[in-house]
Amino acid sequence: MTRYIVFANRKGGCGKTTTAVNIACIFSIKNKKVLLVDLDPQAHATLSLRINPDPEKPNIYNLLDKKASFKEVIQQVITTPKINCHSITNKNDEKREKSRSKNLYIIPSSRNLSVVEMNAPRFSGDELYLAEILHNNASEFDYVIIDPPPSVGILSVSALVAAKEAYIPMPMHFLAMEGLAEMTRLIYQINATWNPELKLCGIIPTFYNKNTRITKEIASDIVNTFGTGRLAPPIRQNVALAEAPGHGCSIFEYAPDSIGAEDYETLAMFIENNVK
Amino acid sequence: MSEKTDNREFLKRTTLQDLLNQKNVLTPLDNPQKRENSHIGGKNSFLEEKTSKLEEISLFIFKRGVNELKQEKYCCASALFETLLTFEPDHIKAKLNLAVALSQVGNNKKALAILESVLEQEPDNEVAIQNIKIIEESI
Repeated sequence: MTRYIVFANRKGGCGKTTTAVNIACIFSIKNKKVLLVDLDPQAHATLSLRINPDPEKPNIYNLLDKKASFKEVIQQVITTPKINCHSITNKNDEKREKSRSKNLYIIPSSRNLSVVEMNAPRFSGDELYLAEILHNNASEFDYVIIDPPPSVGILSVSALVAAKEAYIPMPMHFLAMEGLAEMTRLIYQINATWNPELKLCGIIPTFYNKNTRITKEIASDIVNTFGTGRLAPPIRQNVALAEAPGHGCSIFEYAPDSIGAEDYETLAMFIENNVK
Repeated sequence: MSEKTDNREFLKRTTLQDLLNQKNVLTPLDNPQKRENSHIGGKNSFLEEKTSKLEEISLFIFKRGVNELKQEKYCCASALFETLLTFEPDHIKAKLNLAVALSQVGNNKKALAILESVLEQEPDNEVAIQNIKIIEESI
């Protein structure tokens, strides 16, 4: 059965796209058929996989604008790791070769997607459209992973209406915790009005540094409020995670021996087994 | 003395629960631990409560839902009516109000499905018939 997962947080820069891209990649490496839906007009997930977010080519905007069909907008991701990037060493080559996968597909975004956000009449009922398309067409995939923009508008709401599992990536800062409370409220509302199947499945600590007091306090707050099962394995601060998108590949191709790759592999296992 | 108290208040850390309370998110979504505690835990099981107590709770939730609806807080209202319908799946007034709340946030499809379920229970329910017409005209 297809699992519909969204990595959502209205706060920007908290690791949503990095998480969506790397989790999509690791699942595809594990021979799962994955569709990554880039719903962010910034098209960062698209760019991270070395795809040109060209508004002239079929993209998510055309799909939401009803000008293109589902099959027309999906693209297979062909991963071609850059050979001369600094962290590549011989010992990584074998791992890198294994990380090539033909199971990853993407619905790319483009900058014209921002038109949807600007023109959307509030409460028009269009929030259900993406859910209808995905639920009717994406049953061949094992995972549909949605990367929404860092805002609360029709695109983010559409993503939450379409998804069944919500994960919230957040750095361990106070303001990010406020963002978490706000996301919880939004998920609660969407669960009550649009999508009774939506569940808050996990909070993913990103840019994690276990040595700071605030990290311990916030982690303890999350456990006390949501229970131990909701605190996902953390993603430690790792520069390779920031470098990988620049080379158009996931962390598993760019630096398979890095702590970033290790953390995302652990997180993928958590998500894979987090079925209630 | 009062200054000291103020300082202590200032130094107190805002917790995640404080932030959720500020936003009126009273219980975190789908928290199985809390659910287990409230429904199964303890000897006085929820299911063994007297019927009168249940009716009292239903009425309380219904009134709160109506109140939220009047204040145009449609998401909160629909959450309350949904909760009530899990207690009493045939509560017609809750269904009618839930349909109003849902149509107000644009979820006409679900609102229509709920109104049709009212007509299955009461084929002559005028409010349901009228609201179906209004929603269908607005689509």
